[in-house]
Amino acid sequence: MRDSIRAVARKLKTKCDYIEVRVEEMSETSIRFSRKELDTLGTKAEYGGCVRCLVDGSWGFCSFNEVERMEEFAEAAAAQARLLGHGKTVLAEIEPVEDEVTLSLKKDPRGIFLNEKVALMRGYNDVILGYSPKITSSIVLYFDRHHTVWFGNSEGINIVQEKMDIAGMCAAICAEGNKTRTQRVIFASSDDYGCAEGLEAKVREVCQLTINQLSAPKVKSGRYTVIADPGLTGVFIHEAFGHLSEADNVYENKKLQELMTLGAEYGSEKLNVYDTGLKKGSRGYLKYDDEGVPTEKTYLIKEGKLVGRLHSRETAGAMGEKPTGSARALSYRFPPICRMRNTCVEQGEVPLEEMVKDIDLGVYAVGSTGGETQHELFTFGAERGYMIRNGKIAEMVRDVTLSGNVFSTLKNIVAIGNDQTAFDGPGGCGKGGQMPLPVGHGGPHIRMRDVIIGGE
Amino acid sequence: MLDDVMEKAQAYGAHESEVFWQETSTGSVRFEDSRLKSVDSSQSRGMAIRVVADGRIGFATASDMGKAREMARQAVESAWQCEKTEIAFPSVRPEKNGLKMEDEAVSKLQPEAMAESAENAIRRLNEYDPSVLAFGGIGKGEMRIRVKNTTGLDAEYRKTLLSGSVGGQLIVGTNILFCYRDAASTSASVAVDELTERVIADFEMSRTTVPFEGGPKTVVFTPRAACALFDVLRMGINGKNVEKGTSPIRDKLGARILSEKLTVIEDGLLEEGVGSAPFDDEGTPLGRKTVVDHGVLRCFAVDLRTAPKLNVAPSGNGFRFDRYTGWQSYESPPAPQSTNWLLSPAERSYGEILGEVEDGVVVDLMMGLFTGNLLSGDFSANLMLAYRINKGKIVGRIKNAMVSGNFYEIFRDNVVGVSRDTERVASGATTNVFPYLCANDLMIST
Repeated sequence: MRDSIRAVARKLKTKCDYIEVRVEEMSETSIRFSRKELDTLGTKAEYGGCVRCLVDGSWGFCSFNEVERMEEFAEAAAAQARLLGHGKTVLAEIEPVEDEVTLSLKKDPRGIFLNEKVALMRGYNDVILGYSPKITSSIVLYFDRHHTVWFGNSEGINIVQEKMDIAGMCAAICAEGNKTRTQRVIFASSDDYGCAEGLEAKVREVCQLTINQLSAPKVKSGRYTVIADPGLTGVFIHEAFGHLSEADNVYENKKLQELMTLGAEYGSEKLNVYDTGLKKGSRGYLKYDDEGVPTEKTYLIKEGKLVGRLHSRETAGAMGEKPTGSARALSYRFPPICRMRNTCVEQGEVPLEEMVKDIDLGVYAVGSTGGETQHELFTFGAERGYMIRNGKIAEMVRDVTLSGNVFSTLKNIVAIGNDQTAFDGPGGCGKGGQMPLPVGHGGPHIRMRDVIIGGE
Repeated sequence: MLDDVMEKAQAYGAHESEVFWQETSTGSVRFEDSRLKSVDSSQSRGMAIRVVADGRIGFATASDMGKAREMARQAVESAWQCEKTEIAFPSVRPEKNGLKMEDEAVSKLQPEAMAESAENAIRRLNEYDPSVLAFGGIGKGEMRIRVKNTTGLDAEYRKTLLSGSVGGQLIVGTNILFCYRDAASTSASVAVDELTERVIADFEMSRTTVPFEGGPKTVVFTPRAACALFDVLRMGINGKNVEKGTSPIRDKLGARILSEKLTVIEDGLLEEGVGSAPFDDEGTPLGRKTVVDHGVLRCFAVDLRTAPKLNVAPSGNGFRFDRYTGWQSYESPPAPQSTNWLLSPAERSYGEILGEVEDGVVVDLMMGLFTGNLLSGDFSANLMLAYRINKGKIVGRIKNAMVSGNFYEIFRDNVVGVSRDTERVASGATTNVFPYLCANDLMIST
């Protein structure tokens, strides 16, 4: 495969300014229990490729399953690129590497028999359904995916990279009359089947929390001082700032560039935010991105000031900055675009007790149900919440969805915790129709003031 | 190829099997930052096999045709892990119903023509306001679906698809405003220039952000906002959620669950509807049925697997929708899903409904709806694009605000208006026709 990619890249080199070829093989096992039933037990075998060509500042992209017809599709992509071309694109320069990246796994899911995986998940499902008659249903999900990606371009880069992605969740569901409540345990890893093992205690804990949610009131609408737990902090920073840092939003947008000038102040000097591809075990771990650029740890905010962004070669070239290894594609069906890998708020100094003690009325928001952003505005959901009253964490509340504005909310982070936990789950990030891309999050507890919470 | 895979499955021990074949070719142009950036194309094909062995169901998919034999083996192997389930594959070939799903004008559409429409949209937005940056795309697709099983069904259809989206971004100070419109059809009826004019109209309404104090308000949901909220009902009538006992309306068949002003029709044969087809992804014929009749729940959506569990006939709702994109994909196992929905319009115009609102909000685009507990009906979303209504008139945009409520309570007890104006709303692999809906007492948080 490496040779055929090399041959196509070489042959088409004269017809365009730049050409790259990516071929991917993916196999997946997935397990899904729903109440008593093993609902889906499935396998996938995906094989396909794509070619991307650059001519006079415009791209042509072609994806396909018939990999043996690669050259024909490459010609098509080159023709498509020529259709628009009337400008110039400078791709940031990188080292032309040849590399073979193999996996080094703590525990390889491919070495586990299918029936063992099913038995493990059935075990969790039984724990949930046997916990209490109040728990009326369950969903237990597991998947593992193994990818081999071959990449080559007209500048001599030739890489074959193996990737592993393991994730899942165990959800307890209580349905009582017209009330439906659910809480989940999530797990994920890029190098260890062990992330799926030994979750019984956590599953039981979540069963009790789900039952408690039945009697929890809806949170009251308003603006609150909020403490986010590490699980929510990660998703918060992903939505609040991560997406805005993706340079494809900025590189040809002068107004946004003015707002996103390096050095601009976005938060207090205690705030440090980074995105890294180097964290082993995280779902965002990656040696090379989908342009063959080595990944790195990229600081986005240092001491409250904007210091970096997530680049592809095109955006880095246009802005005269360094590529960061952030160009990622969901699969062979998509071109690479600027994406996050593993996005974290860096650990601070304040213990949780300190953060809570002077809040008269606030919300402690725990875990995440996901989030969404549109540059300035963002919103994210907590798995559950607790009111903070007179300096103490008090009764549980439900349906805690929070909203913020990037130009004020980051500045309203008034305390950063002295803990740091990574929370990866089975979901993923969505952008430009490419979803769910495996990413990781992490962070400490953070305290923010003036956060809008929707509710009664 | 399909016969070969089914034969293999039988040889490995399957008693019945079903294969689903999907072939798609697409072509599209994409523009961002007021510039055409890319011309894309794709050729894809893949298949899924579902087997029944000793009453147990197994499933596997592949785009790697070299692994077709292995896929058959894996499907049978996975079946042995599962419990016994009742399922009967259909054997009658569905009729075509005269449904027109192919438009030659779409198949013949060249990237040059798509690029020209895109250039026109960019130019028009630039004329309107040079500081608005245009983004969007135009894409066409041709799809072939075939379902074949060992009980005698062998059916296929072809469909063309055209989609267009036009948006603009305007930054003034630290105020970032996005407006966008999209449309999709099986015919060449998608008018990019109309989408562009609507985006301009959206900008005209939302340029000024006005101060607003939250509280319980009367809210007018635009057709696309209403359609997004009705995902709650799609989840509620989903046969799987009914069977697993998690839907709050699981025992409400024949009962009034919504306002009597509301009637929901599912139309699998809607003209030019993206979701229209002669049969679902398991081979059950599609038709037109009433889901909610003047507020009364009439049916659930079931596939071949949930139908016997709920003791009803398969309803033509066995689709293989990707859970993230909403599009048909051989990679997803069949599950109960709803197709095109029509919410019946009423007497008054949108303008008349708006004119009666003393102090309220028009909600057009919401963000983060999916993060809520939608199954229970509880939603809480950021108002990405919303307007303040004062004394019957839209006076400006409101932002940094949220709307919350419970779908089943709001649309049962608080509906005060349904418009006669309707719009087609494209959402994943469905086309929906919705009016404006007005309800009071929704909590707006600011």
